Amino acid sequence: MAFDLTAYTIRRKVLKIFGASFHIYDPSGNVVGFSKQKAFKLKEDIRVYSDASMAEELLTVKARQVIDFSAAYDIVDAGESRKVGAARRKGFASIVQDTWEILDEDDRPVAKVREDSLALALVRRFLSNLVPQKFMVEKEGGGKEAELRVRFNPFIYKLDVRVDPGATLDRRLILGAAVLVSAIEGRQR
Amino acid sequence: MRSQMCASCGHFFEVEERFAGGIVNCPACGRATEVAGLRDPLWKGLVIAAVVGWIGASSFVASTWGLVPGLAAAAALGLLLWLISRAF
Repeated sequence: MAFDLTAYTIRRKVLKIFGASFHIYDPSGNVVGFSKQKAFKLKEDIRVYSDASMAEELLTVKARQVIDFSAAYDIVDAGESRKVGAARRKGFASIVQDTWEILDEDDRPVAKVREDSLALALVRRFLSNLVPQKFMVEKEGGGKEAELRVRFNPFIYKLDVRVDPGATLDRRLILGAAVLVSAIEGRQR
Repeated sequence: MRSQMCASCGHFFEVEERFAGGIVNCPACGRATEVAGLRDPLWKGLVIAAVVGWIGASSFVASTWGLVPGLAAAAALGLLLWLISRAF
């Protein structure tokens, strides 16, 4: 299952007109998950399944509001039918440097997902978006938990996720955040 | 605070306003349940304005230059609105 892996790649499916979908691959290239962003929904609704047949749903990621500058997305373990936390995009901070807060089920911040450096973030925004994005997932109070790295590929969006072996953050939150980064930030390319 | 009923077990509990439109775990059964959302007047206003603008502009083009340019304008404006909605 995608939750158990310490390394995986999220690849956006090309030639999809409505909505977006992503395949999740393990380091050997096997599909370990499939994510689908529903089209024509007022509120963002992203589902993560165990494979492309969409028979087994793993995660549900849903926006709380239609328009929200600092949008919050609840992350639910579909198997247990239990909310595991949320991810909130920091609207003002993200204008210059993409920043997300990872929250626990009671909305307490537990980690941050932040674009690697302010200088590179500015280059990506104002000079060229060909410089691939890199995000660090850090626990509140410090300590790297994971790294999300977009591969240099102007045509196909690929995001490599590397979870630190000693990471204590819920892997479902990391996967949810990675899918959100792919769907929301990846769309702005 | 707002009152919320769990969709799984029917238990009533209080949730904070910030969870409106989101998902919380029921304190009784622990299962995720959706919280009723706020009405989004801003969004509704924007959608109505976009649709009225779209129909108005297409009708104006159709009445000025004819049906085919009107349909073409409707298609082009529809595509533009869709692209703008994708950007957000």
